[in-house]
Amino acid sequence: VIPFSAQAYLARLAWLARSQGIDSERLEQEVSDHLTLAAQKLRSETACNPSEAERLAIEAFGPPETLVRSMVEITRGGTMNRLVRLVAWVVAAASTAVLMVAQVVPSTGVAGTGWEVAIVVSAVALAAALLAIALTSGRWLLPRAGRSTGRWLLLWVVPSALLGVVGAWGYGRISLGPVVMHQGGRLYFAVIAALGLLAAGAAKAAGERSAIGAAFLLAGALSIGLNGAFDIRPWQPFGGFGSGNANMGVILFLTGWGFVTVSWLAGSRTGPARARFGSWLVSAGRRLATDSAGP
Amino acid sequence: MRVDLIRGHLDLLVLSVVGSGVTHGYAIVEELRRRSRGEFDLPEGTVYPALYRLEAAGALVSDWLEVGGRRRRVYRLTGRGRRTLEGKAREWSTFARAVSRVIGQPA
Repeated sequence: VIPFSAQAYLARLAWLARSQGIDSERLEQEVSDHLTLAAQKLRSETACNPSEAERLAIEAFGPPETLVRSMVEITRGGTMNRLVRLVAWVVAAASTAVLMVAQVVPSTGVAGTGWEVAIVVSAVALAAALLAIALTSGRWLLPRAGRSTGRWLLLWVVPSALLGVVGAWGYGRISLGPVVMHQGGRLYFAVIAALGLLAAGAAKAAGERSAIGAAFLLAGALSIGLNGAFDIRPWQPFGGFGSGNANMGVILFLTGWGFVTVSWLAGSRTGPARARFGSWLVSAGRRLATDSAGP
Repeated sequence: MRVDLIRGHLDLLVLSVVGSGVTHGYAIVEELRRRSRGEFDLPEGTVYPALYRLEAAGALVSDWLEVGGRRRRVYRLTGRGRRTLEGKAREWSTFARAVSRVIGQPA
């Protein structure tokens, strides 16, 4: 059933779009402008009344469900895309879990042990999974209102990559001309925090909340991949686990997963589940209040 | 004309209309209707997924324009879009000529 008023149509469209995680503000404004122009033309051509013109314009536009379904296909891809992304998320989570265990369980360095194989395999699987997620997420590539994809991507990638590079220093000090930064010192952590904030700010400005978590995941992956590359010791990609040198990479990873989880939980797709949980809490509260009031 | 028949060629049609100048969703629909002499009378909302898809592919760029106190999203062709349009137009001409020859009608 197509709503008969433009206001009801736009409200339904916005609700449907939001529930599918689509940039509803842009779509809503474009459709609103379209319906206004179509209704104006109908009124001038057929001399029908405003509400009739609005109804005819909406009919010619088509149901909001069809539009949102098509937009979902574009932003998320087809069934295969979604399946690949789901598998990639599972692989990414499992690989991270292995890396976390490898960081905590061995009491000494992992070089030459079975842990080393597990770490390299997990890191490669994680990188492949993150790449698969990025490539199958058309939504990330969609330009946001008033901003070009290239510009916001650059603003996001540069601080994320720098964060990963700085996090790769697992030992000693960093000398950048007159600036000397001791790993683990105040300046070191201030730079980490500033870069994290810059990446998060770019993601927020682009209206892409999940990109905050992705920035930290990217930084964590770089940090572990470049581990030791800038130290006085030899570069040990994927190394330093268990001996504490991969600490910053692991922290960045954990932070990234934290942000990804929060943005997913706060996202529109979990809206119905949150609403159900809220209703369950309210009804449980009412039952408790009735029980405590007694007969 | 059947909607699914038009949908298969919507990207080419939209690129062709946008290639004529900076334009917005409603104007594209109107221009499609005008150029096809009313044959392309598809649900008007169909054009937006095509616009978003072409923009994601880098064939179009868009921006907001303030018109009479209302915000309007306007689209224009990129260099890549122009090349895509030329390629698709060539493909279509070849296809149309071949079909005409097969069914025995003049191209």
